[in-house]
Amino acid sequence: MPLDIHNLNVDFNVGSINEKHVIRGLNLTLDAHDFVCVLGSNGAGKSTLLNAILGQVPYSGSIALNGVAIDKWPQHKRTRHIGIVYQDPLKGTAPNLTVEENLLLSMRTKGIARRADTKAFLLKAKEELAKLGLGIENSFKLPCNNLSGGMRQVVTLYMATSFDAELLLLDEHTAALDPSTAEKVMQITQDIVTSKGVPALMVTHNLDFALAYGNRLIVLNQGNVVFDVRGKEKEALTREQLLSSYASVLSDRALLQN
Amino acid sequence: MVLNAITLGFIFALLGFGIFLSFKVLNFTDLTAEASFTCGAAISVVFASMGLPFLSLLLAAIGGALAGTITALLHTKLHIEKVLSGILTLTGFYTINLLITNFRPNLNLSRDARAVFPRDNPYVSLVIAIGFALLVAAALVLFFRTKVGLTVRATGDNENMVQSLGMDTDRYKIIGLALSNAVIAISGALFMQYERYYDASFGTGMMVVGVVTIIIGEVFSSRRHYTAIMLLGITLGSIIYRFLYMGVLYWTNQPQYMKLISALSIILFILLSRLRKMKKKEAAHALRHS
Repeated sequence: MPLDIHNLNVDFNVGSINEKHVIRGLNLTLDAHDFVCVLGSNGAGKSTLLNAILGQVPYSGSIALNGVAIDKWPQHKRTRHIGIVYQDPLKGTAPNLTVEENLLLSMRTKGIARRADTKAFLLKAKEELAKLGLGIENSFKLPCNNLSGGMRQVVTLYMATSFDAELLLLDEHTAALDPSTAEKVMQITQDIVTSKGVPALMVTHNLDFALAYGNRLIVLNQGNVVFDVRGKEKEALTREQLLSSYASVLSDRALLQN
Repeated sequence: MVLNAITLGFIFALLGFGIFLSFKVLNFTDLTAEASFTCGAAISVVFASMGLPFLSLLLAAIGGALAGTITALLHTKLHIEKVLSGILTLTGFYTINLLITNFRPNLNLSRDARAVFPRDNPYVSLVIAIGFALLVAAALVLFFRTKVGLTVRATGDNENMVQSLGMDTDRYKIIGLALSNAVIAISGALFMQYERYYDASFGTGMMVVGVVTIIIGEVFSSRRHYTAIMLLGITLGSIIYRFLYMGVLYWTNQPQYMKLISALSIILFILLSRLRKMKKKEAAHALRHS
């Protein structure tokens, strides 16, 4: 299994008056090629789940990546195997480095050292990014802070998957973009996930995206999975069905879209 | 006198490069600079006295790198604040620097001791100072093109992103600070060999000198993502600062005025670059709405 989470518990402010059990005994297994959309209200534990997988918060329980327990791995060792795209487009790229330099950095994790390989990598990146029609290929020599938020998210997405990522985590990565850019970035995400065959876990507040993309949908509430649907069953799922059962546990933002 | 100011400008350009590396590239307010500058000078006076002026530069660089490494370790491994980490190293190195010179707070390089700079030819000294500045600048530009150099730059630019790519940012902070302080120590060593004199308080105020140098440099190099242009700007800034120093000394005959002038010139140059940025923004705004 690409990802196997068993009996995950995350507590905040342990021993204080503000102690909070954010994730309680969560079990989740991802199959190869799973593209899972994660819905839930604020505080349901969606982002905390991703942070636990990345080793950014202390937890109990076990997380295994392709059968290997990663619980003792430091954060940087985990991210060598896991790609991550955050909500904030500023988080994923170095603003004063050029697009080319940012891409070269992602390549570094692959250990490509020879000049010829570097050239081939950049050429391929340019070709693949040109296909997306955003014009990123013309900005290779410009610092990343010259790009729009959507372009930066796509560069981050490309960087996160350009090495052989075993898992891709997307933490509301379209939430800070305008609707049409968000739609475009989502399509690109779907294409990249499908073409690279990397299993993905996408946290979102957008019901339409959760229904339209991916092959599996889960709803988190109070730190546990309360709804899990996949394949044909997910395709048949309608917004009304989802809302009739889970309106109370979905975020206000998701409900406002109606 | 003018030749002297230019030569010192090139020697202190290295100090500017080092502080640029920690402050600007790594985004690390590193106060170790004052310790590593003195450390470089102390090591250099000891080994140059033994007739090893060139080896003394290498050893000075190692000493500076060690100081930088200690600050970086204090910050990354013990999670001590950046400024406090630097202050701790700075304080500790006050004694270490005295130990290096066997508790003599000032030393002269004897008349017959060999130094990197000739005693009686200011033109050759200038060429040597330019040579060192060029060499170190070229080495830094090349370093920033390597994978490690690129990662050091990215660590200062967006630490979160470097971690997301599976790299240990602590390691690159250590490398960056070691390199920065090694360059600063070479500057201290060259300064000592040029003046043929060592004083344990050489480092005092060097941070401000370095920052002024960078700020003046920034006025000349707006496209900051090109390291070479930035380093050139710093060199120019360093020379201008030396002329300022010379002017103050000439008019007041009191070098202590320099501290106030340094502080004021930092404020003035920050003001200038702010005004320039504002003008640029206004121009862009006007263009958009025309």
